[in-house]
Amino acid sequence: MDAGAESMSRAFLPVHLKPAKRAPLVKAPPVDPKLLLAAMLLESSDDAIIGKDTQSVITTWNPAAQRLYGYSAEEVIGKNISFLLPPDRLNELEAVLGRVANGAGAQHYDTKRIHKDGGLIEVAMTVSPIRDRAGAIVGTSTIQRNITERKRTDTVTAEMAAIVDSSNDAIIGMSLQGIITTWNRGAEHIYGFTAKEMIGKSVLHLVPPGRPVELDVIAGMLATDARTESFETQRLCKDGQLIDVSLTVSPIRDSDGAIVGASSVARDVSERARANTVTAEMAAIVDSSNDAIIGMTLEGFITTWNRGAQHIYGFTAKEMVTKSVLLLVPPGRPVELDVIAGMLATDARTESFETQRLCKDGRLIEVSLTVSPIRDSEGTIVGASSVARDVTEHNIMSAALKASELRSVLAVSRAKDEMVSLVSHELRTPLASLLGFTELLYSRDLPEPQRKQYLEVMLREGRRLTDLINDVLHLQRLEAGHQDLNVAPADLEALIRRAVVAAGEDAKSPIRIQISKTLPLVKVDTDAVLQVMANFLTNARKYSPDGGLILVSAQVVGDMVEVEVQDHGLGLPASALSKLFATFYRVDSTDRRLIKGTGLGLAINRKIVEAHGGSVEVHSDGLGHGSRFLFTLPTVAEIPKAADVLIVEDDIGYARLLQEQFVARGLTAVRAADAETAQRLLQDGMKPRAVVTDLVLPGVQGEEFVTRLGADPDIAVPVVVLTVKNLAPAEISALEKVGVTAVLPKEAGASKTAVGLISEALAPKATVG
Amino acid sequence: MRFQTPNVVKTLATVLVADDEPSMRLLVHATIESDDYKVLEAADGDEAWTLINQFKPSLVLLDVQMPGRTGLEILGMIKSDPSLAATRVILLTAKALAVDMEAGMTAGADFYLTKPFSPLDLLTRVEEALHQ
Repeated sequence: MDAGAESMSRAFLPVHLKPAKRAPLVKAPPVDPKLLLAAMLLESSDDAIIGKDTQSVITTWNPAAQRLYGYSAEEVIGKNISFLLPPDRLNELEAVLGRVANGAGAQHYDTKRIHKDGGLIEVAMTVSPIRDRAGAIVGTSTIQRNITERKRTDTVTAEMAAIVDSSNDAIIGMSLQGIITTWNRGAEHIYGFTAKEMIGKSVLHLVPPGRPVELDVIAGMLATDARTESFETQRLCKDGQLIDVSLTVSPIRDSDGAIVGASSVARDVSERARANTVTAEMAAIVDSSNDAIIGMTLEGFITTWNRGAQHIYGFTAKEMVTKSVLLLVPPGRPVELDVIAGMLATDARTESFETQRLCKDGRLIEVSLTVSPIRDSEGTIVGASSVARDVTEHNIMSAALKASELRSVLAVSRAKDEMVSLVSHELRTPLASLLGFTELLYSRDLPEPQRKQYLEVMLREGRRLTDLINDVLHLQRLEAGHQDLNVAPADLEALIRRAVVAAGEDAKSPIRIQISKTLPLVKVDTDAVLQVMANFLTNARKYSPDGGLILVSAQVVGDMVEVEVQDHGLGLPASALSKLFATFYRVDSTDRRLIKGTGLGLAINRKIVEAHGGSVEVHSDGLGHGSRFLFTLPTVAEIPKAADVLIVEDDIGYARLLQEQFVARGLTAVRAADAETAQRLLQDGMKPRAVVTDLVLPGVQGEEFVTRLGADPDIAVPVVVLTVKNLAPAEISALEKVGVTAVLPKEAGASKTAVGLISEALAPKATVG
Repeated sequence: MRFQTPNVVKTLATVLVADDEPSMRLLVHATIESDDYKVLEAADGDEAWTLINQFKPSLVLLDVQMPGRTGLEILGMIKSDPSLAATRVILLTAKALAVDMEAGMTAGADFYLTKPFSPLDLLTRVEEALHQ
């Protein structure tokens, strides 16, 4: 499971290597000249080269990596790589590592990372597996190059090209000889020629006799040192027509500043163009309006019908154009044309009033109608326009609904703003200590005891700052839904016991577990639940400065299990209960002012529990009366009895690898994250046809688990052990003695061998003739 | 490094530091510690108000967000008490928005420093406030 660091030290000469804590020390082998060369390359490479073990812990960090990220090797080796990743890139890396683990070879991709200064950088990555001599993947190496600048340039160039292409002006590039080299869509629109027709042709095709040619203009500009020149002139279109254009000419220079061509930007300023633009704009406005806008002749025949009219009345333009407007007017309601007649008598320009109109589906709607006469260029009235706005209750309601949606979006964004303001506020106090004491130490000669005292405060505040940032990031990931839960059946009692062991012994506030009835399996992410338990247990001890028993109990409530952590500490005022799980909320009372906390632990717990579909609760009989924290987790609705294979593996990545391969062979597999869960699945009636298990497990170890399996006459199925343990022959035969079918070292291809062995054993035997 | 004021007749001025963060009280205390001042500490607003009335300090360094009475409340109480007319006030706060600063200055603070602040800068402000 975690011998990666050890084997890597042999396979990959480390320049900076801090051995993983649990790895035994390895005597350095004689230096191989190839390895020496590799080490030199590592040191001198311009690309950042980063080595990680299978748990994504950094083992190698070359000088280029330091230049790229700002961290020195000492700062990062031994840390999980995740702190370099923006939250939205965690899944990407997991996917890449999954592919590498599956033997997909080197992976190339561009992505983003976080620099030490907090800024985002764009990097090009190559991730390759590191294998030990036996070929087993013991980690990954990443070669990274900063492409922030290149990306920016690419973006700018692409944007510029898009701007040029989408411009309504005709933008043309030409060589010094006047040969057209670029031709945008605007040029196609204005001149009528396509790019295909014009590129490679002379610009003279567009210049009427006697009009200035772009290149002559450039020559003139050089004489006067002008940068660009704009003037009105004429150009010739494909259809032979002359158009008035406003022309802007500029020289095109290469990177050395030498003029290599000219660009010409022409805007069509002819009357025709202007009129066309206005008409097109007006038509677009009319068409996109939500109001029903209709044009009609003096006889009441409809001539135009916009999209709003289709939406409000239900008829399409095709159905209504040339029809009479009377189709829309209920009996007894005023017709547009009569209104016009009335207006002429009073000299009004437009008239608005509320009335009713008839829709295609027979519905009567309330509309606010505005009627205006349509005149020709001489001023004679040739028709009428009618603009109707639907003011029916229903529409008003839907508008109100939209407004409330908008308000909820605004509320979310306001909550985010508040979070940012809270975080910056919370960060300032520890920062003030760190910077303040640094300045004092730097500027004053202080006696040793004082220096030490200040340094201790700085260390403590620095750690507090780190905790705070980690908690904020964690919470943010939970809130954004980036934290994927690896939900699987789990034995909750075993998890609780593990959390209590992890909390450690404390004679002043001992923790007792009280679970009388066997709990059903729960459907949880074991790591997340362990964190929730750790937070509650830490709080229970922290807020019991005078000590006292901490009691953990659990019971079934409906289809959930309810866990309770009870302490006999400071307790909570009634006013605090409702706010306790809110971000950055801390109880303000004199008895706990010296107790440090980020104010985020309970908020994180709530998010995790709610992500499982559970809920959190707190009770206290007031200050001095202790507190009770409760949370619920869902039970497993149905034990997967019919699954073919039971996989007992705490490493979710490896378990998935196995699961996928079983599925590929047509076998179903269920994963248990520990031996306790596996035993519960078997007790509850799961009848697997084979078992694959790891030996190094949290809680009950694999050896004990397979021994129990072997002793159970009901479970006579093949058992394959996959382990990173370097077993002595005696240990292997001991395992075989209790019924293990095969013991495979976890190395490259081991999962395939295990899956192969099992599927062979499970295949229906061919009858031998 | 200390700011010396040789032309001023030495009087032992009392300075009160009110902040709920022990590390902040230590920092401020260590910064202004000298033979010129007697430094008192308060861990919340109510304790600060008691000490202000008892010792009538020349200068109060107030954290804005404190349990009990807030720094701004204490500032208001100092300003409306004629017996504390000579008391100078410096606000120290993690609230860094312009509106917060304006609220502090409007309420009558002599100076307003946001966390993180430079201790040497604070010392200069303290000397300025005391020798106005």
